[in-house]
Amino acid sequence: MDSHQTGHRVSRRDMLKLMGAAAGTLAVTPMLAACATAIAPATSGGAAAPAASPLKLELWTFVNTHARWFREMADKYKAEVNPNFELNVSEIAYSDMHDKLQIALQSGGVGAPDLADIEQGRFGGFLRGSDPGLVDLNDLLKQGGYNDQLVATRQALYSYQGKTYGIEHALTPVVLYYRADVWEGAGVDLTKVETWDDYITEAKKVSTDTVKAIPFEDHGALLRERGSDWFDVDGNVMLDSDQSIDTMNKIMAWRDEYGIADTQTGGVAGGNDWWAAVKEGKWLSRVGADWYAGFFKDNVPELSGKWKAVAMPAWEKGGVRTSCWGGTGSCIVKTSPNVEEAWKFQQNSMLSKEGNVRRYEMTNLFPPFIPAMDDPRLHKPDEYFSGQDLGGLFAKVGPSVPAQYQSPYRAEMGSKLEAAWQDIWDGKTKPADVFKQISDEIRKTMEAEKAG
Amino acid sequence: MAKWRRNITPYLFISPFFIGYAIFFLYPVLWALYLSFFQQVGIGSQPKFVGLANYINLFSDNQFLKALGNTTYYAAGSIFLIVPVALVLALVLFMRNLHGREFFRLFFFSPNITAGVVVGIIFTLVFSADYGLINNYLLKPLGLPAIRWLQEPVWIMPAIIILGLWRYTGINALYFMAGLQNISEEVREAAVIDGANRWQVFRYITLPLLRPTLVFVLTFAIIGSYNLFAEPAILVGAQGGPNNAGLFMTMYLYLTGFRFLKFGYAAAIGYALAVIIIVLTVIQLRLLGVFRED
Amino acid sequence: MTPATLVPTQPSVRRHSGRARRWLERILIYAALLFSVLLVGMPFIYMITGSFKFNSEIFSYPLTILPNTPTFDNYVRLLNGSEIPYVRQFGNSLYVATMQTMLTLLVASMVGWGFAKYEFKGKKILFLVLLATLAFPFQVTLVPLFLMMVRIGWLDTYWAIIIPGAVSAFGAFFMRQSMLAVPNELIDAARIDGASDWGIFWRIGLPLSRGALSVLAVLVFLGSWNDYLWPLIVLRTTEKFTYPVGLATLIGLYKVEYGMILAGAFLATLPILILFLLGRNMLLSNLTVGAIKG
Repeated sequence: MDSHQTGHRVSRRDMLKLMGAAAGTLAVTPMLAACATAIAPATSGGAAAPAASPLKLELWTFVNTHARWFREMADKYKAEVNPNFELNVSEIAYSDMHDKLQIALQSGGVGAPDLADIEQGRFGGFLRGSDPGLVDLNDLLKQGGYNDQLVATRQALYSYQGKTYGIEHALTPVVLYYRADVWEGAGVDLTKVETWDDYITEAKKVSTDTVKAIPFEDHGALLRERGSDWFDVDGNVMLDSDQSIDTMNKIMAWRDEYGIADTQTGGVAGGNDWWAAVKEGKWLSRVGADWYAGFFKDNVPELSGKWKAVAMPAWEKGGVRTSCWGGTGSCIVKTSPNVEEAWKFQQNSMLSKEGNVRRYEMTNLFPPFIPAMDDPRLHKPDEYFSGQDLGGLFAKVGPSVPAQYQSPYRAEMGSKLEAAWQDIWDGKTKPADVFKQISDEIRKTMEAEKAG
Repeated sequence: MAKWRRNITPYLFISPFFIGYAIFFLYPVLWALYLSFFQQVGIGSQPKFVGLANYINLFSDNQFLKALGNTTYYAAGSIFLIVPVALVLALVLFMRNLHGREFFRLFFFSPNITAGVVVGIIFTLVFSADYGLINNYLLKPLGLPAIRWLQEPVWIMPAIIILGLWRYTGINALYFMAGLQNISEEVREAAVIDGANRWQVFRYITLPLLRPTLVFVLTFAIIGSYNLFAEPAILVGAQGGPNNAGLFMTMYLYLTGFRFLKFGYAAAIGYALAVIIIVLTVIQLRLLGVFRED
Repeated sequence: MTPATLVPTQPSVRRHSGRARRWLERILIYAALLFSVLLVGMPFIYMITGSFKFNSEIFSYPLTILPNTPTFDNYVRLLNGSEIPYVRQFGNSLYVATMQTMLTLLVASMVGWGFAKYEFKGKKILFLVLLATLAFPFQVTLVPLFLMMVRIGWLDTYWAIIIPGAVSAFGAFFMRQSMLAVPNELIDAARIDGASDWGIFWRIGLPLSRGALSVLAVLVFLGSWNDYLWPLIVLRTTEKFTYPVGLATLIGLYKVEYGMILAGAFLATLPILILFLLGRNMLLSNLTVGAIKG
């Protein structure tokens, strides 16, 4: 009987203790506002607001440097165009932001922002249905005369079936980064190299058993340099074209025939294993876009001053010497009640010379906006890359950046390919077989959905 | 067990749960079931009724079958490796006069505290082929060759199981300890006095009395295995790595819904997954005699 | 009946060999435990020391345990809110997790009690229905649940996380298993004394389930604390984010702030550790024995 009562008393005391703790927490955290329910979605109400109340727009992005730039652009817009303008910039992790945006658009625009950055790799998903929920900017761009000012091939990434849904942030000119100290030490001047065949000859001079000139480079980037892609402009699957298969075979030959390359441990180049190996000097060059330069600085700061950049070797003499890799489009959501204001904001930021220059300074992404390309602020010498004017290189190859064609099925193809690369690199499967199989699977899916 | 008069009291006790259940679970789940009979791909597209087509396609979908095999492989690892190890750990920690019991208990539980995403990040360090902890500090000193954990399809699932062992043993041991606590000390003492050795005490007294806990642990081992998502997704990527060797069913569900935007098909995958879990759980419960009137 | 057959030897010899064997056993057990601690602890050590390293050093080779150039930079940048309002988000998580824990414990113990101590029509079916929720991966109900939250105006509020989260089949199952062990004699006695059903639940059922309640409290708190996917979907403004959602924004496309993520993750483990330490007394006390002896 005694312990029964003891148990009873202790239990009530514990309950009070718990409640006390909870009350204390409540008092400490200034979250009382959260108790009030019924919060309307973030986008501002459609009612025509009197001039006094500010026009609030919402923008989502997944790059923190973009976010900072957008906030600065919002201030600029407020000062120059509309003092009633307010922009709430939300930074959300890459994968999550796209997921969230998709959910919002699928729910008919509920909880969607007015503007959003969409990365090219995820963009295809938005095209999968009949209506991506984004504003078609074709006419607006034409009327504003912007088509001549933007590098046209970049816009292909956000276009489909005659409509254009986004404005490109980044030119992504792809160049060849190389360990200048090692190559020059072996008497090789990579600026004289013009084709991949020349490159192979020179690379043999610096490659050993443990040190390789180049890893297995990204098939897509090299394919685009040749002028082809996974899909063509009409959305047909081109992965198993002769050019595509030949490109992959040539990449494999770098190791199998010439011994100048190898598969990078850690699978995907750019992972932490890769950088550890780079630090040890195992890799002497790398194909990469302009944004890749920043990765060097973050991951192997010890190698500052040892690297330089040069235009990619071409596939044939006189051919294109650059490619594209990545990209992020700025899009306006169709269901936004502020489409006009959003467009004006984009004109003032994404499509202005000053906006593009400021973005380069904050993000280090070379702009696809031609009038901004020769601004001296884009041509500062880069200490990491031996004082080279990287901007000058990017501006030189910029106009010839090839197109990358968007397709609703890019994500699915990318997913299947990603699972297949390791076996190809290890020599367990042949590129021709794998490409054909994946291409057929995608074609089958396309058929099934077209019928629908 | 005494029988109670049938009145409304039990219903009052269970009603908060089931009301919430009806609103926040039943309704969405039925909506998803409805969706699984349609083909709806992409944003802003019209759904098209296709009956059971989505479900039939599952049988010929290589990636789905691969994911099913992978997840079952992991579940087997969970049931036959992680749970027994947890039981042994619980028994050891429950021993009388164990110094530092507090510390050990907290310590082995702590792998479960950190968010799954961070665990995934740290374990890329553990499993790195050239620079990882296991290869460099465990295998190399023993003279064994380095294993390409995340590149060789055959090693990917063992790597994930090792991760599971690290992360979930402690918490399962905790459940077992809660169950061991409920076993009266006197019954055990009586058996020892009767001359039973430790193994006999365990087999004939402890284990049977632990049955409710064992049921609980195994049920959630199965369910947890089939629901695993964050850790493998970070470790090998949402695609599941080389050959899809690390593709879990939840990852495939995520890809189908959020990357390929095949919403109807994704709903069907979700339901297939649920059915599989239910079937396995019922089998497990039957095997452990939960439905027998004791 | 004389107890188990024991080979009659000199009592003193028997005692010595028994003691020596037990002594050796204990040494082996401690050795195994310490070795396991080392294995389990390694990833943690990397996580904690990593938070004091600069990003480029975290994944550099050779792997260092202690930072070559230790820095508080990660913590400073995290706590001063330059990238994310971490302190605020940490507080948000505390609020949400506490509320969700309290509500879940109440609902789970009520429904667990109903299933454990009462017989009623439809009990078996309802129990199976309850278990069925566990079978469904969260992604299935994600979109419909999101739409519902929008419709009832709970988007960007904490209710959307707390209320659906309180319907925990896991908690229900756990409490039921534990409450089965509450001795019916006590309940019968209380009934004879004229106690109400609620009174029996509140004054006998709950206190005697303190062990399970503490374990469940820790687990529910932990689950809510580390919950990522649902708060991500439902919360819109950065200042309202819970800490996992906040930390995730540090995973940028061009740069991952590993150091800050590790620092944030490490700080986030502290409340759990404290909670665990606070609850361990309740976990230790032997309640059922006390009740029977009394």
